Amino acid sequence: MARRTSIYELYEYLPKTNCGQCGLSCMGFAGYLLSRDVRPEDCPPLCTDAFEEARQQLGALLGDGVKDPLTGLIVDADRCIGCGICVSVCPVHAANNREVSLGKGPRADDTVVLRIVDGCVQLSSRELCNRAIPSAPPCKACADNCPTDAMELV
Amino acid sequence: MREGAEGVKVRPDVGGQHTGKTGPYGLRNALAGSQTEYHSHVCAGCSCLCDDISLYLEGGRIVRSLNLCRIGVTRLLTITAEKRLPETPFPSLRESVRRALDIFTERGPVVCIGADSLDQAGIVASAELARSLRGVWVPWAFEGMSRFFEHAVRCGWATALLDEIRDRADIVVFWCVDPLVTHHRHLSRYSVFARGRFTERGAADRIVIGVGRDRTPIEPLCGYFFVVGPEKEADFIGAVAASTGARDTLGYKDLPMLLRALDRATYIAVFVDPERLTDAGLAALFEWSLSINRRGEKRMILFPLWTAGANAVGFAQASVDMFGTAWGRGFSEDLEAALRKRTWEALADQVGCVLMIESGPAGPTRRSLPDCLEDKPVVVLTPFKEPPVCRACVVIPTALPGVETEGMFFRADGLPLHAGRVECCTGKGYPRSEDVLDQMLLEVAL
Amino acid sequence: MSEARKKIVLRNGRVFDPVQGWRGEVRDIYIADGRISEPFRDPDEVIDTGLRAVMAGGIEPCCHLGTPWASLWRAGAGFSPIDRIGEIYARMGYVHVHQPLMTLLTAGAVRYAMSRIPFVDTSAWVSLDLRDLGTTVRAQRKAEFVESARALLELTGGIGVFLPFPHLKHRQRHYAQKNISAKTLFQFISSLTDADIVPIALWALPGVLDNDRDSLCLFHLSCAGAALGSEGDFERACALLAVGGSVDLGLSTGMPCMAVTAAERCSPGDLSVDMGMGAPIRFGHFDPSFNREMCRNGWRLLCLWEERWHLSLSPAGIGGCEPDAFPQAVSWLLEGHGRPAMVEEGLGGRVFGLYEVASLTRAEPARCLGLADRGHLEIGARADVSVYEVAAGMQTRDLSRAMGNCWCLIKDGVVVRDKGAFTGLKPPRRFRSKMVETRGADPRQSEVALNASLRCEHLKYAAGLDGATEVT
Repeated sequence: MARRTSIYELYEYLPKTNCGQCGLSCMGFAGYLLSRDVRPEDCPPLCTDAFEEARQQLGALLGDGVKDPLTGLIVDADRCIGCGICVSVCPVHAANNREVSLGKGPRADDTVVLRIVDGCVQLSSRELCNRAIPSAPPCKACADNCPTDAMELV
Repeated sequence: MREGAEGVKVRPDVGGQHTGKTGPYGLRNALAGSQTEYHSHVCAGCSCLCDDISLYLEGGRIVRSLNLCRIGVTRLLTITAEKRLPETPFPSLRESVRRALDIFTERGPVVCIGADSLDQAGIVASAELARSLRGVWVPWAFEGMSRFFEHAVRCGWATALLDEIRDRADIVVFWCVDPLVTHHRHLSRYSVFARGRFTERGAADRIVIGVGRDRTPIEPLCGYFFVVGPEKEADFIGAVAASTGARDTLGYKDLPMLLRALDRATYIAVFVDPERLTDAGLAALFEWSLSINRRGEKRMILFPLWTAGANAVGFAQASVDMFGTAWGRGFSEDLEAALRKRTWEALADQVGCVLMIESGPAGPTRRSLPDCLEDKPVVVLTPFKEPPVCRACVVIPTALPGVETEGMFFRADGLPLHAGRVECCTGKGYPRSEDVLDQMLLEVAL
Repeated sequence: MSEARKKIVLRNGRVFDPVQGWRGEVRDIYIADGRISEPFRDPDEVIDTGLRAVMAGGIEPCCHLGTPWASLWRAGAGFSPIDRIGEIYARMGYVHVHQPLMTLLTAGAVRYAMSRIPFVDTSAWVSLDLRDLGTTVRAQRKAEFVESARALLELTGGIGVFLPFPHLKHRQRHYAQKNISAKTLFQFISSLTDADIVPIALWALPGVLDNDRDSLCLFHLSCAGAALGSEGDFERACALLAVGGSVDLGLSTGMPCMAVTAAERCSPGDLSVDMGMGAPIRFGHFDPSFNREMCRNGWRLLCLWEERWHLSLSPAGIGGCEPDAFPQAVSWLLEGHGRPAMVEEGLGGRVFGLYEVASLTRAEPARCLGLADRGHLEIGARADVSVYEVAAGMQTRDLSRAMGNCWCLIKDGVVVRDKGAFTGLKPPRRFRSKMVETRGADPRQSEVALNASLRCEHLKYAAGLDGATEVT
């Protein structure tokens, strides 16, 4: 699934003055926004009234999902419908849990990367995720197959 | 136990990304002190009938669920809210039943709608009541159901268990139906992403095709998506079925590629919502299926995906067993004649009041009465906390089947599953729909 | 006192019981606590049969009733609904109906359907899925194969094990290495000795008789009517029966009927359901005029019948679905006049007696299903007794009426019919299963259920949900 936004789209809403108050150029700041390492509030000019609308737009693009530091997964709980596609396509599950790869939901005591809790996907044993392995190619199976763009990997 | 954020103890075997927020059921998102757990519970929110649900209860209330999609969660929310149902002017069940029967008697005949969301015992009870009232008994999907099953009996029908589709389908078509709207876990459990015996790469071993009146949420998952209006539907199917290197693409640039894919396929699964197809379109689909299956080299199955009640198949089963047809019954000549016209308008002309039964999907996919029945007095049996979207004269609160009461339901492919009861305090005092219907039946007999 | 515990005496019956060698001697039958009993002095009820024919309750070895969607097709095709089917069997003096195939997934549907058939006990064979068990066959892991089969029996409540095809042939070429030939399978099956598993039932689809005769003896061939399509098939069937092979067979009465088969191709009007059996189960129409030789061969087989043959007759007919015409067929067995040409050509003038009919419809079906307490009237057997008003010199029309409306039927000691009419009493009904060693949460059960979309917990049958179950 396509990402909801891009560095260029975020950059359009920034002051584009390269004032350096945040310690970065505006394009650099846009990159850190995208990876959720900073928030719009971390840019002092953005906090002024003149950029209120831009701030709101940035908030809408970025959502309020919390990034998991180990895997970089952000889940938009409002978009997630609990379809379980991410659970069934996860390559870790495919390799280790035949029931889950067949489409059945993981049991409560199964050790899995992702599971559906209260209708929304959550990380369970995040250390098993391929993305937690520094040398592994970044896996995006879950986010790429999410039909509602509820998952983002940064 | 380990300490999570905000001092909430989290069980290590479930883990979970703790958000600090309250869970969707309005209570703290806690597993600590969970007194009761239900595993492999069956969800009766839609005809997927997922049987891998875990429910955690604390103090008799559901506080957490695993493997439950948004449809199932929304359905559970109806019974976990403090105030469940709107107030009714009739304080006791007996009085509500009497008032309902007064309506049926004074303003009959009655049309009984919606039993296809009940468990099997409730379906049979509703049929008996409709019969005793000499009314008409239909599912939500009766228009589509009657057309589909009439075609099935007349032309023949090739179908399959969902497991076989998962194992063998190399082309999956969603025709005027979008599981991302109505059956959230369908794609991951059965039709697209699950890795089957002979589709070991899951979605990579399948081509997904969508056909709809408009673009729907499933479009991004489809290899090809076609927007086909009702007037073009039969021609479109005819062109696909002919598949002779169609010179006329009917304006669809992807049509030749679709035909090539169909040509290479060995097993084509077409999921369809008969309610949304034209009669000509449905007939054309059956003809296409027959033309493929009579050769025996490849197989095409037609699979109706009913979107109204979780137990539409159970309704069809009970209706066939009791009355010989799958789409209900009119208990007088006039009503049976109206039923044969297969439109709500024809029924509305003959009936004077409505018995509406709810227990299926809540939220956005919750059904409402057809417009032509809106002006009639309505008696509603419902477990939902939000009032029904109609001018109801009598609202009788009921227990939620498959959670507060147990019952048998049929999965979309005809397999029965028993949905057990969860010992939650919210269920106390609410009668089963079956009991309300039986009481009405008793009163009628008296 | 409950009806089932009554002491009943049936007096003055001409009793036919092949298991005990009774050929119509006038005897009294004593029933107590739902079982055939030693004589006693204080009966609660005495039924004077007036020298009418008495035999054990009939047993249907092959009737397809519980397949998903079958009831829709039956209703659309104008055939009897499922509750009426029970009444038809009871009228014919039958007490047990067996569904030859159910799978792990469809077991719940089959049991649900069977539980709604009134009057009769029911049972079903569970189908082995070679797609899952093929590895054990190719690797000759007999113990594992047997344990898997036992796990399936435990999970589904099957009364035996069934194979729809004697081979495994994948449609996809890249799975060809997983194919299993009939020869390999027969070799493997011949080495199995577990009494819970063997003999395995095999669906006698067209072509099955082409296989090696000695190998086919390892199986019980079910619904063999459709396998007798040619002269060669007929001869092979005779040879098989002559060396002790076990077969059940439905007869054609020459009328179009509904038939169940497994076939890739569909015809207009067919219901075709993929249930994981290698080919879809097809409910279609059977027209005898296009299958004259097949229909006649069934009757020819009976012409050559010998008492030592393990041959059972299925009232559900050559199609395996519809018992309505069976009384007519029985009347043609019992009376040489008035037979249609096809039947006369087949039977060649041979006339059967009630002893032979009892063997074909009681003793042998009980044997092939493993119902040791049925099909005969030995002391200790279930009190399933049918009484028919059949007299010497009756014409076929009267015989047909008599065999289709038994004068008296007692099932499990409950008098269901008396003097030609239903009494209104409902006998206990059970789903009969095979006794296998129970192992609780057996990991083998989880293994055989792994490929199913449902969890193992929901595949395991639970007694009580769909009527009482009883292990044999």
